[in-house]
Amino acid sequence: MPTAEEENLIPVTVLGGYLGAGKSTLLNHALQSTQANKLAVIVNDFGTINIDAALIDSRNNDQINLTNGCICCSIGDSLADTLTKLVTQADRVKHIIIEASGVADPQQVASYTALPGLMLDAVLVLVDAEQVQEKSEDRFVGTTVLRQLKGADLLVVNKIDLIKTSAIAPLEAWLASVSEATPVITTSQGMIDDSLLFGDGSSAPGRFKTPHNSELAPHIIRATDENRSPTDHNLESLSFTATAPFTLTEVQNIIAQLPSDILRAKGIFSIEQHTQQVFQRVGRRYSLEPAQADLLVPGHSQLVLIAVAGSIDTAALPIPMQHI
Amino acid sequence: MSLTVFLAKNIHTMNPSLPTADAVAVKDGQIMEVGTLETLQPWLKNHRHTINEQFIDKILLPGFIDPHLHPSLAAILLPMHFITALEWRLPDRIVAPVKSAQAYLQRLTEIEQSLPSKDEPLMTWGYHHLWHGPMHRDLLNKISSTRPIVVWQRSYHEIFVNDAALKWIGLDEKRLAEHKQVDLQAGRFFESGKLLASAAMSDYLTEPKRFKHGLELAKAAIHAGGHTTIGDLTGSYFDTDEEWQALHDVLDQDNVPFRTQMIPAGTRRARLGAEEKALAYVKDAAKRHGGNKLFFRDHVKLFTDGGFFAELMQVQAPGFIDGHHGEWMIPPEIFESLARTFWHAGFKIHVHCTGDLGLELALEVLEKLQWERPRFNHRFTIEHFGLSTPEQVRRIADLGAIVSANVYYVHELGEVYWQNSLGHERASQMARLGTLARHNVTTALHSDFTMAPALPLYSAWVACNRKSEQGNVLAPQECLTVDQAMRAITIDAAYVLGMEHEVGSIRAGKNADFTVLEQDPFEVGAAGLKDIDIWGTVFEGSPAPIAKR
Repeated sequence: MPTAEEENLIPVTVLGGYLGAGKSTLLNHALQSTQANKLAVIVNDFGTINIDAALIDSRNNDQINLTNGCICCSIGDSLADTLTKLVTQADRVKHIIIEASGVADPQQVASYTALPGLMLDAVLVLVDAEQVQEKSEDRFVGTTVLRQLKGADLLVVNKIDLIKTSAIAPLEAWLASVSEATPVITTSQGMIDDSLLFGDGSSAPGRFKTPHNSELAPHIIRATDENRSPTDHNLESLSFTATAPFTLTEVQNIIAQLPSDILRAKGIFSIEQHTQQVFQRVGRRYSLEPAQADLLVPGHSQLVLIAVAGSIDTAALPIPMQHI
Repeated sequence: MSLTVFLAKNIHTMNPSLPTADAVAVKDGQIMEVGTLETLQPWLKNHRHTINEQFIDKILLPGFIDPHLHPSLAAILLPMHFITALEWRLPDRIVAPVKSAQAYLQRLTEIEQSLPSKDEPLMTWGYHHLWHGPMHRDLLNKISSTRPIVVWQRSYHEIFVNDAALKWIGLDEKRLAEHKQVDLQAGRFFESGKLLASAAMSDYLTEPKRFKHGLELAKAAIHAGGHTTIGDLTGSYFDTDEEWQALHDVLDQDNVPFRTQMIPAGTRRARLGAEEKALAYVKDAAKRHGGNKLFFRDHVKLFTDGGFFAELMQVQAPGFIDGHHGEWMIPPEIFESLARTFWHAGFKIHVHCTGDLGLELALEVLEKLQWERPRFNHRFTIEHFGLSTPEQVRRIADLGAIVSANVYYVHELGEVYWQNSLGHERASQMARLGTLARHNVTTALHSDFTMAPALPLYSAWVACNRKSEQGNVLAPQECLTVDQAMRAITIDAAYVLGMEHEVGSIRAGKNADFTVLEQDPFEVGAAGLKDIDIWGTVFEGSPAPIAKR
């Protein structure tokens, strides 16, 4: 089975959340990001997006072409058409973010990634820290809000600055109870780290950095705290490598025992020198799929975790790999 | 131009001040007077006139009005091959009922073999497992391994495909296998899976030549139902230049025997803070797309909850038996802010509401708006009116709202929802038209074509008999009388479109629009309404017979 990279599948992030949760603000940040290279953003309305006029290359009714990507406007049934257009256009984008409507079930939007040429990267659901609990009890939209929370791979609790510090823990506990323990990250002004939105520098596993040190000992080394690399928004990325192959069962065990606090993870595992498996995780959803061709030196493995800084006790991680 | 007097066996004017007549004088497309040859004498003495006796053995009613149908959706569906459990009478064919699994496959095989080209996709509509048994891609593969075959379920939210069709639509099988709403083995796509598959086929379905041909079929179907006025309740479906061009080319021509009021959706690209933009878009629609027979008034369409056939209506407690939830078409906050904007701009607002929670939202917002800025004669219209409570009907009356109902739900879905979805009590009382009548709420019937056949007499028959497809009578207390039902497809439908001063009854000064029937609905009574033969119509004074098959 070919990997995402070989098939050249475009990763798609679905951005859900009830009206007013801050989806547009977040998208505006994403468009400013240095990683927003060849990024397509699909929105319900252009009006909510601030576009730097200097970046606009050309525009028509449904699409604004930017020097670093494009913004498409899609309503209702036309989402599939818009996605198909993006897949088939000559100058292909590298990542797509779909802004779901405020009442959409983000999982249903995510089901459109079954269209050819696409792969689901993540379903991020924005939560209005101030409003969400009240909205979840609203007689009209309560079930809609709860369904959105349940449909997330990762919950981004926005406007955290608007609630009392003492209210944060109870809110997180409540979110854990209604979302079946989906990982949560808190923020304000819709700012989230690029690594959460786009993955670790990219979303396709083939674009992984090559191991820093190809002469690593081919045995198990526990991670240490020394090389945590901080990212912009109080997140850190932890990298691990190994140079001896695993058995599939060992890999499945590593995956199963990763802490639930991990926001994103990507890995390539060599399995007994025959195949390499690509592991991707966003929040609590993950996939492990065989790579068609080797992506690393045969026998080598690599794993990158992204989590809130300090939330992962590396000493306790059940990862029989070297922390780099 | 001289005056023409049409003589008929009977004329039901739908004007209670003069309910019946047998002669109507027409000039320049307008009614001069209705009555008898005797009462018309003052006109006849003063004007050159001809007496037209072609309807002497026929019954005249005001031209039928369907205030909510979708020509563009019909244009997608009608080019398909129909295989249906019930008879469908279409202008270009009568679809004989097919009621068993064996007969279904046999009919499909016949169609497959009759197609001239080898690789032309075969699209069929009307399959329903209650009659046609389980469907499976293997069954379709046996009919053809090379021709794409796509079976559309009767209520549109499910399709089945054979191997060739799967290849033709080009979706990735591996990913489909993981899709929750695709059963790849059976070749079955439902709900979002169906949206996915139909999107993948959309180039084929909306290809201009096919679409225009479909619109021609829709035009003929609308005429064949006896309509002289319709409301297109979204004012184009896709809102593309190609669609508007096709609508003008087919429906805005001199030979079209009906007029279409386009009621645009006010929700396109709607968001909080941009209500004025939505208002400008709707106000501008007339300038952009208005024609002669396609025209706009100060009406707008908004939405609350999801589709009734797709079981996505929002339902109040105790909800659906299986515990699933409906959907909102737009966030309730945006619905409210748009309704407020259009209310203050003096628009007549039509709200698509299907479930009783959707209706609750519409009524709550209307109540707020009445509090903020009371309006009389505002024509706030509840469209579809699937589920409701008796108390909500009372509020509809209190708030001065009116209803345009798709009563066909009772016939097709009443029993299915009773057994599978809502239970007997609530399912049997869907479209509670009797209660509306008891509260004097003006009520129109619509088809939402292609959700129901574009046959006003058929809708009237359902409203008067409330018979399910399976033959049971559902909530007989909610039946309309023949008079109420006939009003609901004529004068009360005109009222919903804000056109009651122009059409909807036969009286001096109105457009000379008539529907010409072979039998009298008031004589055949409730049970016989659907079997009345329609000769054709008179549109603005010009007879327009329905082409005989």
